[in-house]
Order: sequence, then structure tokens, then C-alpha cells
Amino acid sequence: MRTLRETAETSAGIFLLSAREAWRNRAGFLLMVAIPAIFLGAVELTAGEGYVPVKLFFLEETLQVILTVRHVCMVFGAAGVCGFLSAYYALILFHQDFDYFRFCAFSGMTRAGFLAGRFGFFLLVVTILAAATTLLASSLVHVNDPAAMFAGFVLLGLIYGAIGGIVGMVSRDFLVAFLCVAILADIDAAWLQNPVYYTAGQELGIIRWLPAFYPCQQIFAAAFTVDLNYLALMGSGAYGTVLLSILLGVIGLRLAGFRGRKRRHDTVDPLIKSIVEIEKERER
Amino acid sequence: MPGQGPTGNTRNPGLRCVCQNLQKRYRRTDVLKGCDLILSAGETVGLVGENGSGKTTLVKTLLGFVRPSGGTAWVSSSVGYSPQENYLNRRLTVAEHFHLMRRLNGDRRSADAGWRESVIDRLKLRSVLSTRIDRLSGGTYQKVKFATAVLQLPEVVILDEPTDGFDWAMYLVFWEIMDEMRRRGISSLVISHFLYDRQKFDRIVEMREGRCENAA
Repeated sequence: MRTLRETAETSAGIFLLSAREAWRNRAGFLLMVAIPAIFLGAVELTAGEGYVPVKLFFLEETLQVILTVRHVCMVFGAAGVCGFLSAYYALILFHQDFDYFRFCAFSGMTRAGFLAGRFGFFLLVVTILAAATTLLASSLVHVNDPAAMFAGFVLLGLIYGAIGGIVGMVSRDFLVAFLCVAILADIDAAWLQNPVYYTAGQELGIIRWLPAFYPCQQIFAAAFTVDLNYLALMGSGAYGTVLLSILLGVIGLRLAGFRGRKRRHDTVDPLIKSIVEIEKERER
Repeated sequence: MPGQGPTGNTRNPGLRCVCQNLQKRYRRTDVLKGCDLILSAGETVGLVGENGSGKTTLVKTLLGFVRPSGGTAWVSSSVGYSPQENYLNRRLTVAEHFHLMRRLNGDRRSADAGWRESVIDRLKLRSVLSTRIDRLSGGTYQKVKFATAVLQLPEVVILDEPTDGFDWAMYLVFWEIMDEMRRRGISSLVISHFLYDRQKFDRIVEMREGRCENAA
């Protein structure tokens, strides 16, 4: 019971601490303004009003709709904004100052408390980003179902956030991790998932296996049709679950260290071993 | 009395840290080739050695940050540690960091408040409590790391190059605090390339070719 309370307290503390860190990260606020301005501004300035066919993949059928390039690229640009910013914030939350949290774990912080608090705040960030992106996209172009579009942005944010977090855990260097996230987001969410590109794509099989495919399908289906895309929801859910589980596992392992695991006693002098056992007993 | 510090202490007598035949191999390099080290209650031990002799690896293995290749390591669960690396969360203020550490270590001993305030004052940290860690000078950063290790009055304190960046006055304050901890029965392991004031230590252990040897 005490452990549960400690975990809940740690979780609340880490949540507040994460909020404080995010608030003090001025670069994050700058990117939150600059990235939408650059992505959507570029679309606004360059996209034409010509019509293009766009393929949408539903569970039982494939739908082809005719839309203006500007309309398509604006929604697609919004997806790129949400994916990139989610990955950036995951990188900040799970990469920067991670050694500090290893030290906190060493000092008594429970891993479950850390994971709950940090992931709780990450979910909040993704939700805020998804809501802001939905509002932005809806104000620029007509969107059929903003609620379903919001769900798509949340799923995209979770998937790209998990990727950003995993890259952050694996890479020691922040700049390298940031570059990896930018390249991944550029190639997948900002290029291959562009409906103008994939509708005429030669090998759709590859594009369909990429992590941004299902959430982007959900976003486009919500923007351009009135139907719920169950295939996209299920695919995004599966990708999100797998990637977030990998991220949780990697963080848990990196926080664990050797402390608390079984020590080797096979080569220890029996006298020392018994002294250590007595000391442990006294501690208990 | 076995395990009692040289100036006497009021805490549990006994061992604070034991490692025996501790080994660590990184790929083809044996960094630790069988280290034996015992730290008793109230003892202040210096650990010296050349660059790359394995001092930091010994401590990290002892504390469980690194998995040993062989042997055993045990350290009291009440341990304060100041690593060599700059690990502090750059976006927190000094006060927020101390508060978090106090919560994590368990803020159970109300009598410790006086000790905390006195350490903060003696290290001249009061004026920087509301300063963010990424805006601290190198010496002040080092003082915060040292304070983090000692504020909770753990049973054993392990300090890796603790006085790097201290001026002379702060170096004297450092030893003042260390002496007071020793009087309270706290064991200390101080790691350095070289140690001044050898008389301040009960023992000096030298790391040589991956082994611990008692220095003369």
C-alpha cells in the first residue's frame, strides 16, 4: 500500500516537473510557432487550385476522391507538423537530462512512478498538439469530421512520439537524435504519405508498412469523407501499442541499472558473505 | 570497537561498503582485475590512481550503475553520491532539485533540517537557490553536486573528484563539512587523481593496474 502511494506521489511529482521543464524550454515554443508557419505557409504560398485524385484505403473498399492540391497539401502539412512536434517533445522528455533521472532512480525514485508521470505528461502534450493542429487545419480548409481528425492527429502524435523517444533512448547525442527524427518525419509523414505522391506511387506495399500510413489515412478520411476508417484506426492502434511498449521497455531497462538485480556471490569469501548478510539483515 | 570511526560515532557500527574480488571487463580490456575494498562506519577513505586506472569504474560498479564481470559488491542502501559527470537537470532550479532529492530520499528526519540549512549556508548556495542549474558557474555546479550527496545525511558518501573547481576557501569548507560528517559516523570514499591533506583521511587506497592497494 505504501509502495502504491509512493508511486502515485512520484508520478504526480514527475508530471509537474515535466510541465516545468517544458515551460522553460523556449526552443519548444519557438518550434511550435515556426514549424506550422513554415510547413503551412509553404503550402499556402505554393500549392495550386488544380484538382488531383486521392486514394483512401478503407477496410472493405478503396475510395478515390477528387480534391484541390491546396486542400490536400494543407491537411497533409498539418499531419507533418503534428508528427514532427510530437517526436521533438518526446525527444526532450525521454532524451535530455535522462542521466538525471537515472540518478533519481538510484536515489529512490520508483520506475513505475517515473514512467507514469512522464508518459502522462507526454500524452497531455500530444493531445494539446493534436487539438491545436485540428483547429489550425479546420481554420484553413473545410474538414468534414474534426473529431475524427483530432483522433488521427493523436494517434500520429503517439506513434511519432514513440519513435522520437526510442531514437532518443538509443542515441547519446541530442543533435544526432534530432536529425534522425527530422529525417524520419520528412521521409515518411512529409513525403511518402502525401496523397498526391502515394496515389500514383508504384509500390504502395512499402508505403503501407510505414508508421505514418494508418494515422495519415485516418486524418485524410476524416478531412475528406464522412465515414469512419476502421482499418486506419486499428492499424494506428497496433503501431502505437507496439512502439509505445518498446519505448516503455527501453526506458525501464535503462533506468534499472544493476541495482536490485541478483548479485554474484559465487566467488565471495564465505566470511565476507556472512558479514554482508548480517548488515543486510540489520538494514531490514 | 570494530567498525567505529576514529572520532567515535553515534550511528550503527559496522560495515558500510564491501567489495571483494570485483572485476569489470569492457570488451578486451580488464579495467578491474579483482578489487577488494571495505569501508567501515565513520571511516574517511581516499581512493587515488592515475587517469584511467579504474577509480570511477570501481565506484559505478560498487553502486550498481555498471554490472560487474565477477566478484561481489555491497553498499549500504543509505548512500549519497556525487558523480564526476555533470548530470543535474539543467531546467530545474537549485531549490527544486534539492526538494526533489529530499522527497526521493524520504524526508523523515525533521532534525536534519538544521543540517541542510547549515550546509546550504556554508557552501554559499542560498543566493542561487532560485537560479536554474544551466545558469550556474562551474564551481557552483560542483557545490550543488556535493550538497546533493551530503544533504540527507546518508550512512555513506561517495564523492568522485568533489573539489574540482573549488576555490581555496570552499576547499576548506568542504573539509569542515567532511569532518562534521565523520563525527556523525558517516563513512566517506573520496576519489581523486591526487589528494592533498593526506592526514584528513583514515586510509588511502591506490588503484593500480585494476587492483586496490593500501597506500603508505
